[in-house]
Amino acid sequence: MSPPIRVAVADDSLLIRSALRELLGTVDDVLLVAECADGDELLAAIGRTAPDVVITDIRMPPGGDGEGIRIANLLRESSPSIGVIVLSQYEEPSFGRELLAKEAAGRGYLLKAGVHERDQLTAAIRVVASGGTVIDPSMVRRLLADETRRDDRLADLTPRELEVLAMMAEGRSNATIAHALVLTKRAIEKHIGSIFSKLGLTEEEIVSRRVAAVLLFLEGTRQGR
Amino acid sequence: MVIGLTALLAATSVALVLTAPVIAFPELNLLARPFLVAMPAIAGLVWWRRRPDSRTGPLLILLGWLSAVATLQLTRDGTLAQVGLLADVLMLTIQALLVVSYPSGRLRTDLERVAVAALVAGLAIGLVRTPFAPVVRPIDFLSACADACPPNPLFIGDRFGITVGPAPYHALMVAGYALFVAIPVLLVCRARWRSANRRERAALWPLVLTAYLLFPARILAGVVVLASGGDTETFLPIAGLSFALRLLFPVGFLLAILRAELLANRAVADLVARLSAGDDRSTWAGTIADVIDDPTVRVAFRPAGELIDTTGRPMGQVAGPGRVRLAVDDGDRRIAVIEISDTLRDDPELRAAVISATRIAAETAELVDDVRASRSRLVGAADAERERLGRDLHDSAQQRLVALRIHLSLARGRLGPSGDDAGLADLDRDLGEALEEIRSIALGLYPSLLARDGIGPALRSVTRGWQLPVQVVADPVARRPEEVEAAVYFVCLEALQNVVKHAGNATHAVVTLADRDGALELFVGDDGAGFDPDAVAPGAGFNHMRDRMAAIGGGLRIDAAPGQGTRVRGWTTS
Repeated sequence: MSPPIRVAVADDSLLIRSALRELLGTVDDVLLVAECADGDELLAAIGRTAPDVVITDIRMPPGGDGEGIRIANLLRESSPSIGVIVLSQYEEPSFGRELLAKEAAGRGYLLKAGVHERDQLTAAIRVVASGGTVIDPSMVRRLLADETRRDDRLADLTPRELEVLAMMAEGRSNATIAHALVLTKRAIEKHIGSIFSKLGLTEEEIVSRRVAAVLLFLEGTRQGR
Repeated sequence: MVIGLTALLAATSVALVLTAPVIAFPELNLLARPFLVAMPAIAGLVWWRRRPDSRTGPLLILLGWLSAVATLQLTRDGTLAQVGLLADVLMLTIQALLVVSYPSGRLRTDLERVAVAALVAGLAIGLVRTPFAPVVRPIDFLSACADACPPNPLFIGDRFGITVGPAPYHALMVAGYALFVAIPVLLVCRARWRSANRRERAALWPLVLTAYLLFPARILAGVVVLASGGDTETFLPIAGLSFALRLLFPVGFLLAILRAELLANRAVADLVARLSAGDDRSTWAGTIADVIDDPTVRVAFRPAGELIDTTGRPMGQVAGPGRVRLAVDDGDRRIAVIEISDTLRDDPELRAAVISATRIAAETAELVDDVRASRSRLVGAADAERERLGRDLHDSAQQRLVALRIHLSLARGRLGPSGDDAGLADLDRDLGEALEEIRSIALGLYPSLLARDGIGPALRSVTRGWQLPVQVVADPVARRPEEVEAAVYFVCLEALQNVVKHAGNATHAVVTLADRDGALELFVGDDGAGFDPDAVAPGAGFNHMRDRMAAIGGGLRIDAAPGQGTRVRGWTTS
């Protein structure tokens, strides 16, 4: 068995911290190594405890709004291998976009209202720990349902392809997407290939194509026309 | 006292008419004498009260009193009649003096001084003539005595063998009047009319139609009387006109002062309306200049130390030659200093009007500033409070519910599949709904996206998921100060909520934000039922929207018609 994923948690609410501690305590392959009440504490703890993944509130002292994103961007420079999940009360694509803007690998944007879903949270921890990207599924669903706000590039996608793209945004693997849609893995790969070509993502970007597609998904839901 | 004496003199003149022996026009005398005493005195009193500095008032009163003295000519007593005649002659001079020195009762130009010198010369010549007439022959037809004129007690003509008969006496009188009185007076009148501006001419009209016409009418009447050789049929019409103008002379002065007052009142109303219409105090000098017809007006507001006018130029320590400064004060506080050319010297009502209109407008403008500032402070405080409430909801209630939900989820996990039987799944769903409600309330209280991304993205965010599709066209608009963006955001949101609430059949709504000349314009339109703005009174919602825009110096308008949807337009000033 692989070593557990080392996780540091930062939230200015004691209630949230203790609830997360309890929740993560029930997960075998996750080890909580630090609990912090603000951004400064978190940065100090990261140096001390070398976590694989950081789960941070988007809003806490000292920076207030956007502190979690600020820390994610700091870590991008200092410790690019650390995955960051930002917990947010804002169901806003623009916050997610800001988090993923420079480089989406190893980043996750989860809504606080859905953090009680243990399996979803641990799945997200695993995805960002391995350099993947996660966007809260309920937010993805809502964006997907919002047909009035989609730009032209996404308009070329078939409903099925859009569905697959949304699941990619949720951080799911091809296998789980296939399972959810009751399709073969091969069929999913075909869909994904079609999505990439329709969005103009070339072979050279193969590593980050998945992430780039997710970003485009967020972008596409920004234009309110 | 003046009134009492005037009444006494008028009564005396009536008594003299009633007790007089044979007189030419008894009824006319009975009616005209008291009028000729009272009317100038009344006009003089009005003048004196309104313009205590002017000598016109006292001169008019004197004119009325002399009229009473002139009635003595009816007694047919030589001495009394001579006194009465001298009063009549003096009245001609005073009438002329009144017109020449109008309206201050003082002489200002060389022409006026020359005219008065002529008057004095004419009076002297008239007096020199007096001892050479054997009888006291009145110059006024009201006192006419025909062949029954009393002997002149001052007559010395027999000693020198010089006697002036009726016809030459009359001819001399007419010529003297024309030369020494009428022509100089009319020259002054002409010069005054020429130099008057539009406003001054408007105030001069009552006098032109009465007092000015008296002088040529008198000459004409005198000439006609002479030429007619005493034929009543011929000279009566023109003599009647001359007499009517004499009666109108004091009326003209009364109308002139009342008209000046009326024009001043109008100017106040006009000025207050025009000054209050524009917030921009820098345009006030131009408005005042327009109303008083003086293009040289300069205004300095809230003077402290050196006076700086509205164009930014210093006004210096004192007014230049031919210019005066009017101080606009509110108690001990100086609101403004207005500098004008000295043309208002003779129009104190208008000068006072300019001062009070400026004071009213300045005080109104200050009040409006205060109200706007306090409204803006109130709205700012309310916004800050909303934001605080929204954050509190996020930070306390929401965090607590999130933690609770995690604990519930853990408890369900521990209980295994049997946990759902205990209704814990329902509890979890309830918690989810409570979280969603709090999120929505917090978003309504203060959208975190507004400060971050601006009005358009915040509106898109808040309307996402509405039943009513809302299209937001806001790209690109420049960012604005927090209070401006908050006002525009909440006004748009309220308009959209009105669409949901009232325009039930609307299929979509559009919000457009656009930069125009530095200002931000908002438009919210729908394709709903609309309404008749004339039939529906603006509700609290609309007033609130309008107040919010007004608090940032902007405005709001609603256009609607039944069946044609509703359109809300708003604008900011920056």
